[in-house]
Amino acid sequence: MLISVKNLQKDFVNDDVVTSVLKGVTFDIKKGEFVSIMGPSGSGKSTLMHILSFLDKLTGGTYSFEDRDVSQLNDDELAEMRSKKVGFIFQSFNLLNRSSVLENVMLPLVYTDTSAEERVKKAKDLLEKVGLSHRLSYSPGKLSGGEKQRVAIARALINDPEVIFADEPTGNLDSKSGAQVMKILQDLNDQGHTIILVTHEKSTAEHAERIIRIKDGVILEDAKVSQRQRASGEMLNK
Amino acid sequence: MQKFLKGKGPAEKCSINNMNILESIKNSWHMIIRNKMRSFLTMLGIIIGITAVMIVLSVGESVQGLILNEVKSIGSNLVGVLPGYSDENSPPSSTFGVVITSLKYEDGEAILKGNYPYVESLAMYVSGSDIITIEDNKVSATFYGTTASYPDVQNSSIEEGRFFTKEEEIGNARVVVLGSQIAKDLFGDQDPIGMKMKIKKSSFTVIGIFKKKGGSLIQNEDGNLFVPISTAQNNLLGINHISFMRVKIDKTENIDGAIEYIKDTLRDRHNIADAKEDDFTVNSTAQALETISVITDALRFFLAAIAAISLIVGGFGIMNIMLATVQERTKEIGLRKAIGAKNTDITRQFLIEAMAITFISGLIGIIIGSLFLILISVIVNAMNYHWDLIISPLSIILGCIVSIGIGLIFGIAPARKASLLNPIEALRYE
Repeated sequence: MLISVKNLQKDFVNDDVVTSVLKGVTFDIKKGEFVSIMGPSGSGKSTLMHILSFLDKLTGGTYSFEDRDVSQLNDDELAEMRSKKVGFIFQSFNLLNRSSVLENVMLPLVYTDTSAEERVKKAKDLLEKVGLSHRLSYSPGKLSGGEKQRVAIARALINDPEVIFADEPTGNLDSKSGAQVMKILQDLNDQGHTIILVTHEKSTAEHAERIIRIKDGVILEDAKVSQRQRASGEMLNK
Repeated sequence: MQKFLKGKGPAEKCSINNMNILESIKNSWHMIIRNKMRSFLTMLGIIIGITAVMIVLSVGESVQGLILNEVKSIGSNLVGVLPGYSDENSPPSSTFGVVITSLKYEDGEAILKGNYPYVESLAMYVSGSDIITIEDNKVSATFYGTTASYPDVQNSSIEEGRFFTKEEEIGNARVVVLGSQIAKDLFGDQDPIGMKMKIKKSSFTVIGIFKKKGGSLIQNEDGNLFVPISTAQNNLLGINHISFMRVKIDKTENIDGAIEYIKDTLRDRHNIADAKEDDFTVNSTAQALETISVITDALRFFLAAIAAISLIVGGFGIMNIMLATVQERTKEIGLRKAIGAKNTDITRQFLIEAMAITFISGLIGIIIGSLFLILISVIVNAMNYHWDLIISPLSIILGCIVSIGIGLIFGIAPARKASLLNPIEALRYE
């Protein structure tokens, strides 16, 4: 099993006031799945994503990734997991404006053993895949929102991650660009990538095969999508 | 560090390292360019500090050269006698313009009459500045009243005409010998020998001109006038004391003995029993020049203090700007952590950035310091003094090391702050 979560709990302590954000969540995610975690703001979906993506630590229960107990990992090992196992796509893109598109995509490789030539080659390949090979030397500031998110997707893919975490990836995009991004995610899933999408919008969540609905720190529903949305848009170059 | 250990080979490790360092240097360059005024103000402390370090280290060597050159040009076998007491470490107050009348012409005569075997000759001096009149032209100039032995003691030679004689020296003769420069200034292409000129209101006849000698810290012969000491005392200054005397000793080895002899003679004449009561100071030229080092050493100490203070203040400036940068780039730090940067990677990145900024400041300081040294050399040489332009390699190396070291020391706190940011909060930061 790729991801296995049992009775996962997360408390935040602030001035001796304990707030339980996740109150025992259990589910598995298999390799190659496309899962949406859906819920209103404050439901705990972001916290869940942070724990699943090794950015935050759990306070109770167990989380195993590829049968490894994540709670036993130290900070450096968690950083290594983030580097090698996951890729992120954020709502606000989080691109470095003073670096070029190409440099942004190569950035995760700075923290790995990859030669300079290999970094450039991989980044160029991925930018071609997301249809941006004509923008290599641009500053991200000059790109449209949809293009920015495609740069971010290329960046997320550069380490060949096991899982791609997409946190409201269409939240800052117009519907056309949003559809394009969802199309790319679905294509990536078709090619075998595991994708975990966090969103509060039902229509976006329905692009996945399965939706885990969460509210007030507990799972309300975990079900297959009966009428899966298929995003239209340009095909991802293979 | 772990990932370096896992690297595939030495070349690989090297390329990763270089990439990180290059990226960090690029970041700091962007930071400097993006906010030029802020960067300049931040870097100023380091720039001033390193400039001062450059000057402190390099000027010392030039001053040594200057002193050696002086000793060479005046001769190391001269002993000076000044009125007024002084202790080991400071020159007598007469050096600073305080008039002390304890030394008389007869004191010099007595030293000569003692027939001490190593005293070759002795010259006495008084000096003043006044208006020189040639026909209708009036200029201000410095004149020296001295003895006939002057050319011998000072190693000066006459270009044209002659120096005055012993008879003229004691007989109030109205004759004057000109330095090479002032002869040119006053008379141009005319031959000055035999010409009349007025010093104050007394009329003098020019009898000789010195050869060009070049500048010296002690006396600028080329620009001065020389008259018999009795004339200067009686007609021009109205005094009966002398300002100082110089005694020429045959060999450098005999200087210490001669100094003791001169002191004994003067104490005898002035009825002084205890050396602490001395109303005169006797020292060798070399010793006199040492006082120049005392002054330059004080200056160097002052500069070194400025360097230290500016570097510390500059260091805090760097710390401040790095903290501001960490704040500004919180989101970037969050992102870097999210995509796999370890705490040590973040620490290293910001440390390298801090060091890059201080290193760039250091380089600017080295350039400005060198320009200063060149300027000093040009000015001092234009003033006719000997000054070697020395930009010591040690000062350049030290400037680089110190500036990078300051980046390291003052960059630690901001870098650590960056590395400890919580990635989730950092990513949310707006």
